[in-house]
Amino acid sequence: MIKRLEFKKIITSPIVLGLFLLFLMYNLFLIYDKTPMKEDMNLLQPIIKENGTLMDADGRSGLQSSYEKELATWNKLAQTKTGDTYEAATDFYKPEHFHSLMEAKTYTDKELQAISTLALKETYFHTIDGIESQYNQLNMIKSAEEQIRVFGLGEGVAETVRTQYTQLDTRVKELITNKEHLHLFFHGKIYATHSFLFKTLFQSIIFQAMILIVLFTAFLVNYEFEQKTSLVAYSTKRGRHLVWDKLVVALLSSLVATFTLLGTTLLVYFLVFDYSGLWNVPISTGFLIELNEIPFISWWNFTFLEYLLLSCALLMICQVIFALLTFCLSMWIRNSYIVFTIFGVIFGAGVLLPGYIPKDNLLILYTHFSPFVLVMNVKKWWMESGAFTSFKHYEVITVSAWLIALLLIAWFSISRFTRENL
Amino acid sequence: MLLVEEVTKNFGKFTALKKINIEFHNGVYGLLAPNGAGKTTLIKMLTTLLFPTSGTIRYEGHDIIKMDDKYRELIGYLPQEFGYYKNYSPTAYLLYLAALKGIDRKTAVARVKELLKIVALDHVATKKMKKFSGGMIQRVGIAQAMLNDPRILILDEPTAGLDPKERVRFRNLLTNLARDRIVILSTHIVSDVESIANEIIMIKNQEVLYKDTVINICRKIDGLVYETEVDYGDTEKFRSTYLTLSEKQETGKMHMRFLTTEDAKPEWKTVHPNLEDVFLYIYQDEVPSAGDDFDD
Amino acid sequence: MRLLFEELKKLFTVKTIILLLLVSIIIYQMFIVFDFKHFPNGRPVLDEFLATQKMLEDYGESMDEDEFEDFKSIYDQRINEATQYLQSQDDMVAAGLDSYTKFKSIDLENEKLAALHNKVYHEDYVDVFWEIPAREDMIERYEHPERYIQQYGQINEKQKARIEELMKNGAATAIFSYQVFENYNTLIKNVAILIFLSIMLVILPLYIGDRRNHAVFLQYTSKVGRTLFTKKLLAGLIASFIVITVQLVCFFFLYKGNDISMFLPLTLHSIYNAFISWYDITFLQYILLTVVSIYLIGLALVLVTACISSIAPNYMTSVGLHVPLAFILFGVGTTYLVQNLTTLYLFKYLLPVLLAAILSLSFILFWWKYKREKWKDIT
Repeated sequence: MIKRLEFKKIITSPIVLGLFLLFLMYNLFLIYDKTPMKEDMNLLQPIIKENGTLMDADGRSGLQSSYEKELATWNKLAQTKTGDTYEAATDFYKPEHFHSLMEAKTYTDKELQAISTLALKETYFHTIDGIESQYNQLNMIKSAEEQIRVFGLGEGVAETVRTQYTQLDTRVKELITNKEHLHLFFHGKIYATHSFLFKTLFQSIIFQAMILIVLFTAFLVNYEFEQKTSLVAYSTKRGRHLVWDKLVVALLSSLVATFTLLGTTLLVYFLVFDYSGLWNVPISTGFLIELNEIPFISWWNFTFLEYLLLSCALLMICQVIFALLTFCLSMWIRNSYIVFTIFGVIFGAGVLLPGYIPKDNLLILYTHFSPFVLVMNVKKWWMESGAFTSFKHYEVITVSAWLIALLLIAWFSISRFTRENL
Repeated sequence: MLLVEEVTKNFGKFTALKKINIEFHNGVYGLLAPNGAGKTTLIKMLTTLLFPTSGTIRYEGHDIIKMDDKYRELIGYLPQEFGYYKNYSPTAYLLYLAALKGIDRKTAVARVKELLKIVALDHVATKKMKKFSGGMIQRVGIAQAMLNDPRILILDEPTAGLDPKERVRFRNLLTNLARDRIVILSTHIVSDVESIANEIIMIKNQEVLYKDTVINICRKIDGLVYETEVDYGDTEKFRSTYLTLSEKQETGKMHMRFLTTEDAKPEWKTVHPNLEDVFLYIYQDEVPSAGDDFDD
Repeated sequence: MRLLFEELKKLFTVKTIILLLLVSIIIYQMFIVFDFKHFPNGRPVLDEFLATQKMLEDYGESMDEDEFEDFKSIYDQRINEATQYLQSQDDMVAAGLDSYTKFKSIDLENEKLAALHNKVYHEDYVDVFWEIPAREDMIERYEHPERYIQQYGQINEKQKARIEELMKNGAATAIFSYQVFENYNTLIKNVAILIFLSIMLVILPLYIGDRRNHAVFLQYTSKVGRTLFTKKLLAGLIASFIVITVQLVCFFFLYKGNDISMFLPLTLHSIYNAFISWYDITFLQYILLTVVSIYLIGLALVLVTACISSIAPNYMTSVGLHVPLAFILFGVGTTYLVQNLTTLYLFKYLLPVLLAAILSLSFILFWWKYKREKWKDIT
């Protein structure tokens, strides 16, 4: 009952609702902005239907034969139209003759569609070799040494990094044996879906949810003090136990807010972009590699769906951490606008802190185990993510340690509060 | 002379006060009504915080709204709840309010010192108000109302938080002040005004019901107030039959003070009505409801 | 006057000042310090900057034909120096790299040669080898002023006319440095964001505090009465003026460390800069323009923040309303009103029109609120 009333304080506040809708609209706009590439992306679907996602020797020869067949068909058509033959479908787009062909309207729209599909198939096909050689040359030990040199890490730190990357090296070998890297997926270099989904969208959802959560948690906890009803409220039967209710409500509301924001955004995303047939593709597939050529090496063999769900869960847990942090701050600072600002300062300090630790001190690694650093790098959750955060259980350790610490602080704050003179 | 003429105040569809007419001369006026009857609304109109929906309030013949700062310069006001800054000392706080009241700094410094002595806060003049008790805060409030030596002093529930000794001192202070100014005291604590108010104003059903001296008001129910003793067993029945004004246990019986228009019974003893009796009689049918404190 | 001081005191409490300091430190560390520490950022950018500085010392504000010949002769000299260096290195000579020309046309596919190449640039950091490509690039730009026009891509007649006019008036020989300009542009945007954030922090409690703890009852019934509303605004304006000024003074004090004072009197229009303004302005004038713009936006921001403070029922709503405001102001706002001011890419009078619009809108908003406040029932 009390919890419901507390919950109502949040839900009925127009600013929370207004901001929520505004954030949602912004996310939808981000998705809308990307919709033009949807048609192109969908061309992958028929390829998968025909050959499956796994591009091992079998899959590849299947793809190749279908590609060659279609190219031959196309060349027959081209022969009759212009007398040209093409070595590759992409040659069709060479500027020398493409523009004149378009002006002369030599080909019908349907035919143009066909060549475009073919060109894409060709791109996917040719990418496989590149991926294979890239992964065969992948050397995690070398990558570790390179990073140690670039960051100028001291011996103790370097040793830890080496240990981690040695484990990663084993994982890379396993990944190659599993052929995880050879699964078809939306071409990273063309669409960069991983960055869009897990960086652009997730990152903005994280910040949006964080803003909402900090706002309403600080508001809720200090509601009585700001309304000057604290003396009444805290002397009732429920009394100071009310703070417990507030904590529970703040945490639940945080989950609800995050879930709704995340859920709606993702729902729209997956309605717009058709991922059918791709849910079970391993997240470490080489097709995800984007223009920076950095492969995604996940610590476990996750499918895209597993990865997505795990990331959603982690995101929600992070927001719980932020709600807890806000709660603790609010127990000591009775003005919600100062709480909001201090939260921002703490967040900034948390992100900056590792930069101030000497490069030979192990603290530089420990300070990376913070939710602030964690949420700045969503794209690389559960994966190799650079010298400082590539630990197999980095995400789990970070959130569990902070959850426990903050719960203890919250408990301590509450017990102090129950004895405080009001 | 402060004159309230035909003043009506609506909040949306709700009428808080209807065609009120009151005249204030020098002296203490007790504004007596239960919570939510429109006391605070009237006071806020007298202090220009609210604007009458119709009608005017005049001071010496001038509309107080048109007088603007010339009017506000003349008033001292203690709201039920007033904002103070926790980190200010009473001195700093009163100096801030003196600046608001347009008192020049030199005069203000001397005046603040003098007032803090009057309200017996001179020993904590430079301590932060964070640690003050409710009574101390209330005394700071009383001091600020008197800062500008106002012609009209308006006090909303001024004795809240004061202990009995402080109350007495405060009443004496008011009696002194009222010799050459208007003092309007809003309260629902009858004893606060009974002894010092020259006139009592009672508001009921959005209108002024009485505006008269205590004696005259009490006369309205002269001969209707009795005292008697009742057996314990009969108290319930007695209460439902008559309007009991007070009751107290005495030597195994209940001593009842009550009001009735019935013919007196022999065991009843006629007594002189007091203001509290009138208050209880007039407002006997008023049940406080949630919407009543909308204007607090 | 006394009242104004009292209200200012309430805005600048110890708490607020500590908050401001903390926020400033964080923002500086996250977004500003980098552009101080790494200016000029990397090589050969650094070498280009040094060469430009020398150019300025030697030739003054512009470089005529004779001076260009001199500039080229320095380039030749550097090539000789590079050759001498190579000849002094046994491993280079052994690999047949005994002149700069040979070194330059090195086959980078050859691992051994690539290692030597890498040694010169990234291990020994031989300055002259970094300086040569920098100077080469500068010579090329001088010799091909038409590229200055080409970099603007598709332009309309007016824009074209403006560029041609500039070229006629000496842009082709004027000396400037695009690094200096871009560095300033990046810095001032982030500084502006910090300034606007500071203003929000200071002004946010302006009305809401007294309203929420019922101090208004006493304030509005005092002699000053509801005119306190404007007095508070004035205090807010003074406070933000102080905030802006202190922030800018701190920033320019640090900026002095970038050692670019010789660029201040120069015109922005040079083949060595990638920015064209609709107006003939020097770098110093441009800086002043950004400063004026920041003050004016600050003024508008105070009005809007003050309005929010006087309307919002609680701190949560107040902070919440600032979120979209900050989003717009820090993003779009600084991009068009603090960065690349008067750029040829945009409408010529965009800056004055936008500023005037923003200011008048915020004035109207505040005026409306002020009118309402005057006759509001204080319940």
